[in-house]
Amino acid sequence: MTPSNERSRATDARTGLDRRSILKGIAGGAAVAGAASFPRTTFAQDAPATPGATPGATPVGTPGATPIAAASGYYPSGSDAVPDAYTQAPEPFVSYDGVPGRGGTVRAFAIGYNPPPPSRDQNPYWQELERRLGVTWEPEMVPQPNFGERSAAYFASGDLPDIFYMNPQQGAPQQWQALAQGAFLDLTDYLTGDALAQFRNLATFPQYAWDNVRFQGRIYGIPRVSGARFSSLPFYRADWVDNLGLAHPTSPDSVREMLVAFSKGDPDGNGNADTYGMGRHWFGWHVMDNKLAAYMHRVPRDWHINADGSMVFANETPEYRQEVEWQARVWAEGGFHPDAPSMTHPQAQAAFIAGQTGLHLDALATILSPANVLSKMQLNNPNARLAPYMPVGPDGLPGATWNDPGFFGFTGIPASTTDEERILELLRILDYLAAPFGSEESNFLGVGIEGIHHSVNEAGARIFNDQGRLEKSDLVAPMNGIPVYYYPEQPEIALQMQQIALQSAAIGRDNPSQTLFSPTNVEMGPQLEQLGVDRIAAIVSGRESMDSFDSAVAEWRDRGGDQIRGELQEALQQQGG
Amino acid sequence: MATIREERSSTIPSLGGGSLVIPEVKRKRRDSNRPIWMEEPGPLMKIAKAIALTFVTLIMVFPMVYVVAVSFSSAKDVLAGGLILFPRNPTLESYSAILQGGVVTRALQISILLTLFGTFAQMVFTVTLAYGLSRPGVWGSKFVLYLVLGAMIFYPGMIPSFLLIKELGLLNTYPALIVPGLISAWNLIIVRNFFMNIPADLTDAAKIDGASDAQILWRIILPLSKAVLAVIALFYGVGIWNQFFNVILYINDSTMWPVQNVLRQYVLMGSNLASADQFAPNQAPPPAQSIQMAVVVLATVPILIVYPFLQRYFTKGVLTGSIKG
Repeated sequence: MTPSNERSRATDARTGLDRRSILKGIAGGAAVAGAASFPRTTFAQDAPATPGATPGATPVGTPGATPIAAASGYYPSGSDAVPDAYTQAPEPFVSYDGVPGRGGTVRAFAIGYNPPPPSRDQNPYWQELERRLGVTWEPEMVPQPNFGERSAAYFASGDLPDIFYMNPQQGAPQQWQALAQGAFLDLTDYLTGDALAQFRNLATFPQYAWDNVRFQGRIYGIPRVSGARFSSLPFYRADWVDNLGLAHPTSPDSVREMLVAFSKGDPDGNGNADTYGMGRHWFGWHVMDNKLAAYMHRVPRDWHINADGSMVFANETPEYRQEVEWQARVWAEGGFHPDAPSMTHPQAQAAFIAGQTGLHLDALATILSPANVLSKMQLNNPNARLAPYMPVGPDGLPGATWNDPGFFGFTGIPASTTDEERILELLRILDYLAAPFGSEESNFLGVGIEGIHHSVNEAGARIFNDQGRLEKSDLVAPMNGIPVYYYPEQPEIALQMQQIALQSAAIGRDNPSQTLFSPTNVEMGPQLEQLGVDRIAAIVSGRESMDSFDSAVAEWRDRGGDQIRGELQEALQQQGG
Repeated sequence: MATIREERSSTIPSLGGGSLVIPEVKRKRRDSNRPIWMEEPGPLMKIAKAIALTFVTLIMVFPMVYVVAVSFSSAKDVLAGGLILFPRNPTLESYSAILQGGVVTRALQISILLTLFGTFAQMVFTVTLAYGLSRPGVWGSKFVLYLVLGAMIFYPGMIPSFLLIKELGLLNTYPALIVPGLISAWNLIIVRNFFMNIPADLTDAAKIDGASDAQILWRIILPLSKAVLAVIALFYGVGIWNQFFNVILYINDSTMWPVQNVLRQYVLMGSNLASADQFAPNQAPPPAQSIQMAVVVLATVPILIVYPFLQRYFTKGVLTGSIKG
């Protein structure tokens, strides 16, 4: 592979993203990317002298490559696992004929992350929404921590709203049981094959989302697609690395040395020993940010299916053992923040923003989107620069990131809805809400009415304002269209994010147990996770040695791990292997 | 206080020969008939007490000072990390961010009205029932008392409560937030005991003069019970003001939410805590911590305003239900 183009070493001054590091990452990921299937994108070589380079079908990740737009401002990712990027919104087009509703009332239940909206009579967004949908829209929002309790109350009363958002991993395990007991309509016949084609927008959802949303082989809800398969990524302070004169990390050992250097070497140059390698990120069998370690050592996500159909859990693999050893070594050498064992994710993020830690894992959008982590970091440290770290294994080959199922919850219809017309009406409404980016409907759903909720700047971009956020609140939370990377305030960020996403997706790995259901896992899951938190944290922080690792795994097996394995294997066989 | 002053002096031999007369310091000697805590403490003890109390006070006050200070700080200062006891650049931007748009002011109105009407209703029901139960010889009073005590001990759980409110047709209405807690057994017992401790002579005299039970309650009992009524009203009021989970359970329409729920959304906004790595679409970045702190201040200030006016009844009133005779 050709070495990275030295002329591209300029850091993007406005966004603080270290372009050189991205490109180095590209070089590393190219080995795998070459085999990945990205058929549709064309990239241009950054030719030194000629401004208008000839585009050719070069694979993603060629060093120095710059994506060229398929249409003005539109950069397709070439993969349905990575969102498309726009630096400019397209001309609005119509994505829905007519009005989906028939009059009447629709109650919609979903998680609300925003303060409640002003009442209908003072809320032009709500009124316009009802006009477009053709129904009286009654949202019933609940904060995420109370999602489980509210769901339980609905199930107990038997009186469910017409549109019901489900996301059992958000503290609502009762939803699994409700699904198993038939509380929701089996929508498979409406949402597969030719039947799906009547819903133009839903039909564009990627196949993996439809596959992964199945429960016991049937589709019970429309996935709320996230457009991206990859989860969080490690980002590190590139300016600190340069200050210390280190090389950018390319292996687990160099990452470890970097973290230790962050703790010991005073990378911010203020003369105080107040910086550390990294804080904490996640719970369970993967404590203290060891998604990074898991990625590097290629630990499977949750379960791995062997060729003969038997399943092995992540903590039983030799890769996991290497991961824990790596972490213990980093701890012993002082690379972790001393509070790491008890840090929560928001605390770890705050420490990263404040410049106390030098490496942090978070969602791509969380780090790079405007007004988010990087911008907050630069409020007090204008020289801060971040670089993503594409994990590389101990043997020099690329690591493996974990693929998300590709959706964030799914929206179903209660089984008490028997009228065929009503079912179709509700599906049409959800189809409307899934309007694609750039359509006239999506523009309204996203940023409301021009002049009230958003204004158009000189570049023609629609800028959402505070009034808009207030009135929109969570009114359209139950369903959204396929997300894209588009940031009108800083258009070039969309491209950078897409680049990083492509590299991460190239080495992504699925969770094969995604669609398999184990009741014991729902019941015993939290306790087994806590077991992992306690035992592995003790080993990593040096209170126990690696000798107790095997007993920790054996305890996991005894207390439910084997039972879960049995149930999952059974479910796998039922599904047809 | 009986003190025994003793003037004594002691004589000790000194090094260079001769002797030194050292007058004894005049000290109040403890009277062994009185327990030690009734004596005035010595100066050392006073200093130690002062230090301990100052320390405890600082620990108690520090979080509140921190919350208020951060609420008046700008986002930039908060992100720099570190301890903020006094804002470097005081600003009202957090408060204006919350109060603009009318959602929080609507929620405050709802909370205030709910508290006023709810507390009034609770007081009416509690006082009248307590009065009835406090009169001797009322038919059925034992049964009702056991019913109330039973309700105090057994809590059926969230789902049965939800089903009951649903059957009563109160789902998604404001009475659902008031009616279940209309009579709190604890408060009822306190008020009942207080009424029972009012001397029977007063009520007998009023009966002789021809007063009805209602007139006795209104003219004699209530004026004497100001302390306990103030305390109970405060308990009820704070209970309604702080109500959160009942709202989540019974109220579907989020435009009807009182202030605690709305303010909690501000704190939770944008922070998808459980799975922070998932690409949850269309989520705004979380608000600065200064906004979250301003939220906390707004949620507690109204009650803090009311407390000092009722505080003098507080200590007296809480104990009145417990001491007999």
